[in-house]
Amino acid sequence: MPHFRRGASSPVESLKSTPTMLLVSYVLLCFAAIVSITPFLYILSTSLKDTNSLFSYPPDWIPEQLFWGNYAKLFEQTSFVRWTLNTLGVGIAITGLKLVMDSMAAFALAKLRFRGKALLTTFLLLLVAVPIAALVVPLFFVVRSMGLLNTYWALILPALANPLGILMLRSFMVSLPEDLDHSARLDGASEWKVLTQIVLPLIKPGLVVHAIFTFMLQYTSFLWPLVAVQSDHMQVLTVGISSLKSNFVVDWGLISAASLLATIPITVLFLALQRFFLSQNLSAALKH
Amino acid sequence: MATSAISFRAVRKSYGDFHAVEKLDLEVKTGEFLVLLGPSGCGKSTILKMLAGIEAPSAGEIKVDGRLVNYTLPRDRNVAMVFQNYALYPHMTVFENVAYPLKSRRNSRVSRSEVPRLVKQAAEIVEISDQLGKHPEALSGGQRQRVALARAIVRNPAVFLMDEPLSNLDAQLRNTMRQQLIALHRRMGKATIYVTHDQLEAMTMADRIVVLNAGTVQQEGTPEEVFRKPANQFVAGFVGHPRMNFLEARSLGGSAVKIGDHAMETTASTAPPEARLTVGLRPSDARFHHGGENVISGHVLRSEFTGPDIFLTLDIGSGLKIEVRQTNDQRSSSEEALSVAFQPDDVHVFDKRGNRM
Ligand SMILES: Nc1ncnc2c1ncn2[C@@H]1O[C@H](COP(=O)(O)OP(=O)(O)OP(=O)(O)O)[C@@H](O)[C@H]1O
Ligand SMILES: [Mg+2]
Repeated sequence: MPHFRRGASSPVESLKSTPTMLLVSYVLLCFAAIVSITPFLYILSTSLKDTNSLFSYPPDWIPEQLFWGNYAKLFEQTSFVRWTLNTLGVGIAITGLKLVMDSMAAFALAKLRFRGKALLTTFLLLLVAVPIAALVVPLFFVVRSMGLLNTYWALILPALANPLGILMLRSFMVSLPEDLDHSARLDGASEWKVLTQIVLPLIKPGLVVHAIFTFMLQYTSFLWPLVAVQSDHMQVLTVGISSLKSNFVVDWGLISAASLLATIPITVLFLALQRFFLSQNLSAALKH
Repeated sequence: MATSAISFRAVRKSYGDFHAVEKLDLEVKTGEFLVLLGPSGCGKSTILKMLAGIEAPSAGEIKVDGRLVNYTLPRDRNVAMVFQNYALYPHMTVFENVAYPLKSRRNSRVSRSEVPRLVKQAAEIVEISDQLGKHPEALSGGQRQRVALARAIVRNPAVFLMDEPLSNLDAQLRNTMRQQLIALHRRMGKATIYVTHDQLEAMTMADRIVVLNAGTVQQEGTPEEVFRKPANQFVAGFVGHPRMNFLEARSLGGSAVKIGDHAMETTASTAPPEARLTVGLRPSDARFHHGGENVISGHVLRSEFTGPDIFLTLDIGSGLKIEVRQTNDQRSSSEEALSVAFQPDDVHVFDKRGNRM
């Protein structure tokens, strides 16, 4: 878990210290950048080609003539827009609900006293280790027996049961001095106010990390949405895009266009919140 | 006044088998400044936390203004506490910190429009009026301490609790804050329990001192009583600086004792004869150039010059050593052999178990 102590100089700064290290670090960074950006560029290139030029060898990175047909097809002949809205809607619902539920659960584990607290915490920790794949089948039967298959609830409810966020927020809260909440209680605050007025404002970075993490997890999840929802207009992006290749001929251009567009919302989210990831000193955020 | 502002009856606090506080009986009157004095880990904070409602006592009764509060929520106890590390809310300004106790109460007696006035008033008392817009991290230690005080006084509680509020300040500031705290206490006239492990702080501030060790009360009394008539060897050693000398001795019957080869008259009754005893002598009680009665002679092993005083370590024979304080004007030529006298009053006698005789 992250610790918000003011460290000595950051690793980045110490790397900068000698010219050789600077060179090495740039070379490594360039390499990493190339490795991660090449597939992206390839998808971009593919999405702008028609079926004929797609398989020309050697492949040209920049098509002679830009072909927008894949994008047109995506919007006109598939439910791509609907999938995107589904994904965003489900992701936002899950993230919002989880923030509320997890911060309350974490507060109980971090700041309240009750019997069996340590046991419960350990139990949650063990649950984290259970892989999704092991849960899909039993979960399917549970959700079916509740009559929720092929509804948005089937996508939202199971995701709420992930204990990882509780444990993460709990460790943020445990790192706050005990006297702060004792003092607030003496000052007249109810437990609810201790949570909302004292604890939550002080763990804002933790809440942001939690929100991004939850949203990302939902955005990229595939297995459960594939099982839980059948109708085309209910699908999320991951499942929807993969359904595009269920014809005899795989339309790589179309899939590339869809994949590329699907990365946009998450990229925007990342850019908007990157300072929380990259800030060398989260404690600055903790202090205000 | 019929009831005490604070009363503990047979209060105990155990963590499993470990007793942090044992059978505590304590009364504090309105307007009284009571100091809990004791070494680290003796249960001082635990006592405050039980009174504040942060910890539940394992047994016994706690009352505030005659009302049993064992099962009362912290916020309904009418108790304000200054924490050792101040516990200021880092995300709020000084104003918001001080206003918090007024705003967070559900059935507040204070109307919204009165809040700014009360906050300003509290801020004026502790002299932080010009800091109200800042965040705690922009304040010095002393200023933070004042904010914590302002937050405590703003809601006008029946009882003040202070847990080593000066321990994070430098010596100079501690001195001034000590006086200001007492002045503030006089002005508020509330029952105050003040926790410290600094015996000087306790002596200078307290109306009454309760000395604690390992969860049990060792002695309760005015600073003078605790200093002049320590109830046992622990109190004698803990209160007073420099530390009291403890010397093995034998009873001579009546009220006399023998330390090594030196016979001393005391005010205690030391019977039976030949009983093994411990005698306590404060370095500061040593008198020079007296001769005659109650004299211990020895030769100087070591002398430390500290400015106004000189501390001498004397070898008084029979393998015994004693530290004495000599003021500069008592200083004679650098003698090798020296005699010091102690008034019978100043010779503290403790039995085998360390209790005062
Ligand atoms: N939650 C707890 N569980 C077990 N033991 C505890 C707990 N809280 C306190 N104690 C023990 O109770 C004893 C008294 O603690 P307390 O905090 O009251 O000491 P103190 O007199 O305030 O010391 P200090 O001057 O260091 O603050 C200590 O020995 C401590 O280890
Ligand atoms: Mg303490």
